[in-house]
Amino acid sequence: MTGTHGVGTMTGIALRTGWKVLVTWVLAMVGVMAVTGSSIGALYDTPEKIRGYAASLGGDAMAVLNGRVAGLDTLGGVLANEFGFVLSFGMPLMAVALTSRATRRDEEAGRLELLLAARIGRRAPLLAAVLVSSGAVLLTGLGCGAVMAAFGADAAGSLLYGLGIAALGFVFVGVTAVAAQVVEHNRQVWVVGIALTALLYLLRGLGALERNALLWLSPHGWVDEVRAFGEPRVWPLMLALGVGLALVALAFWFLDRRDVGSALLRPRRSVPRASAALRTPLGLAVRQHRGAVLGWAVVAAALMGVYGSLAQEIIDVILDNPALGGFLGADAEGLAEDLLRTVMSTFVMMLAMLVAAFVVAGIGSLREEERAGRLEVDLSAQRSRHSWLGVHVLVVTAGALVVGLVGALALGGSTSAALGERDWVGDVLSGALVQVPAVLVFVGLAVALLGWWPRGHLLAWGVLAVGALLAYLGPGFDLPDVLLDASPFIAVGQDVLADGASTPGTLVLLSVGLVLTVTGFVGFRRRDVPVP
Amino acid sequence: MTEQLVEITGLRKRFGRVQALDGLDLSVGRGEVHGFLGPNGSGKSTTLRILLGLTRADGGVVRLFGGDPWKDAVELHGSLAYVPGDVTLWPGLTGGQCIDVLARAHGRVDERRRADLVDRFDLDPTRRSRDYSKGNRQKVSLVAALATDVELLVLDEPTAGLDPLMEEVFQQVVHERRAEGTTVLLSSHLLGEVEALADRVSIIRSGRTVTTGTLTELRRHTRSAVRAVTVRPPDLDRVAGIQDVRTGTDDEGRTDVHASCEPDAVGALVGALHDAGIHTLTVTPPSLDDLFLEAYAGPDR
Ligand SMILES: Nc1ncnc2c1ncn2[C@@H]1O[C@H](COP(=O)(O)OP(=O)(O)O)[C@@H](O)[C@H]1O
Ligand SMILES: [Mg+2]
Repeated sequence: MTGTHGVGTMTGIALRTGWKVLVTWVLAMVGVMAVTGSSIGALYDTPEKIRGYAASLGGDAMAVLNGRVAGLDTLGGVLANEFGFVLSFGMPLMAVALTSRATRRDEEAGRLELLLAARIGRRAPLLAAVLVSSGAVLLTGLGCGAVMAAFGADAAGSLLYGLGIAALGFVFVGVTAVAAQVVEHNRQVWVVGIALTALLYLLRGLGALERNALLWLSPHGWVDEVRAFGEPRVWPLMLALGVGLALVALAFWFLDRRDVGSALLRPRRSVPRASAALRTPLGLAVRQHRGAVLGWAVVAAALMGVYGSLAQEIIDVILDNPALGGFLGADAEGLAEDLLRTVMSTFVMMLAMLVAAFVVAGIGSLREEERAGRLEVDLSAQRSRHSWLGVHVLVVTAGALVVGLVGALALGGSTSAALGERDWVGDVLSGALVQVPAVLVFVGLAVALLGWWPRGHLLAWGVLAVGALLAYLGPGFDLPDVLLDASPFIAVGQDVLADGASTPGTLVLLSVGLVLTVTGFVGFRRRDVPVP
Repeated sequence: MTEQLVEITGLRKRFGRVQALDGLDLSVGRGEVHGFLGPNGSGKSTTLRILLGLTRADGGVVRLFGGDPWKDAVELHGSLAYVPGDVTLWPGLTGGQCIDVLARAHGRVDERRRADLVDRFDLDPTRRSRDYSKGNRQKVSLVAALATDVELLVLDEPTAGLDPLMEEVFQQVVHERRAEGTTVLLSSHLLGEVEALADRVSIIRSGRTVTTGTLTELRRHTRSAVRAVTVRPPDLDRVAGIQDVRTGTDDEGRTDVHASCEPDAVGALVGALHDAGIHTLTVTPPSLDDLFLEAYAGPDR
């Protein structure tokens, strides 16, 4: 290939500027595999237990999530299945992250132009990016395979599975390389990468569920069809490799047909004037947050929809479990429904955590307004600080209600559909309503930080993480109630679907949220703008 | 005495260990274009932010339209428009939408002027601001501010990123606005730009005003550089207003004289040199550059 002069230099630059990110990704993926391996190895320590694994999965629901993994009666198959979800998203996103940062991101920042002006060939940066990213996905695959073998999975199968992981990553290296030629901004490369990951993952899920050809449209499906721990075949691996290479070739073909700094798709033009709504502070704020509201609502709907659709499996697991079955006795069905209600309360709590995360991110985005200098301009207008902050907090809070409502409807709807007996929507909605004060605490916390310690926004994420962990793990670890109640998600009431709200908890949380919010507004009126 | 729209005396502001402003003075009269000059990091942006009530001063007096900008920010902002030094526009909005949103923040837009400026600054208002170059983004901020009907324009290093052609347009527009009676406070670290536009100039350094006045006044304060070779050693003691005198002897026994000289003293100095028998003489006229460089490079406080 001509025009690749200096590919060594470019590879060096990509490694020097990106080795931390690269090593983090590889270690994270291999680390998750190691954790999976050690916990599964301890749980399924006899061949009998391993054979029982497939039966415990609850059939088709699992196929939608993880595909149909071959050899579930071997340790390797069990590991592959447990790792499936992380693999499905981890490998593609790793490929997108590593490939985009050395291509479109550097090009957008103007760094590539600088290098191409030196003795670096036009094709060298893309080639170097593909080489480095491919090396990283291969390393990850081999690392995961080695870890599996070390935990006692079949060695040949582990190697083949590791290569399958790498092949999935390689396809997405190709996808990203093409996207980096087609669109002009790194952000858009990410959007293409994430959207394709989700789409291909869904296709594989549908294909696996219906056992039809859709499976073959998705590289996720090809990895499954290597059947590393069943009757192994190498040709699906070759298919993935071939598609990856074809995509990389396409990327080079595109590269030769565009200017440095531009993209194949010319940026779209749009309206030259702002609408009347956009010219109002409220309209502008809505416009700024609506993308995030939409994105989080989709995530909430997808997650809650999946959880709800598993309702039948949950009941089956409860009823089939010999230990539990004996414990439940004659009225097993009724008690199973009680247990299901408790599980649904947990799902609602997770929805509340998701909404709280949206809130923290939404109010955190106001820091970006400040750093970008737009807050300065807004405040140099005839607008008080209170009105500026008030409008944004209002929009974020309303957005949180939308995200929560969408998630609750998805959970209630899919549960009702899965069980087909009675309507869960009302129960779930009233449970979700109970969690609202917990979310409001995070509105208050984020606003208070913005007003008094804007550089400390990360603290809000820290509190959220601790609150979520306490609520999530606390009951299992039998932590004392005092500690549990320190988590807003528990303080509103445990098992909200069955028991409703805790009145003192609700009152305390509402007051804390209100006081924090008011404090934040006071601080925001008094502080310097901008704080960098 | 003209009405002062901006009056700042003894302004102080500290950020942690950095004393950003240390007794800064600035006053801007109605109708003038005031150049606010200083090297990077000298405190220009901080001063403007305090003037707009965005940042709170630690000490000193700040008056904007006669009021206190920290307490009465909202009311006072009714008749000014501000272009910050470093602003990233809403990436998803088009240039035209950004202009409308910004202009709406500044105040009442003059639609005819807006259309005229978009045209003169050669701006494509249908492109999204994330697709703009730095210069084009700067033009958006400028068009929005310059198209608004306001009494005072506060511009923080507004021409950063503009090409010379567009800088020319910018200067024309500022001249037009001034002719209509608009007051302009223009910060810059480039002397040339301020020289072309400003009626009065304040030069600051390390958070302190070094000098202020009209360009003519400033020129009067700068010195001419005089260099001469005379047959006999001149008697310079009787000449007032000269400084930095250095004398030497060249290889033919003549006296080599260097001196800097106030504008009013040039005649007397040349007289004294004449009495000593001038062999060669150069007088370099006062330049604002020297003053400016002196302010930039001079010792700290
Ligand atoms: N928010 C801030 N926090 C800490 N230091 C600051 C802050 N704003 C400005 N400074 C410091 O104050 C000094 C003056 O900055 P600035 O007003 O931006 O200068 P100029 O606009 O003239 O370049 C610089 O040393 C700068 O680093
Ligand atoms: Mg500045």
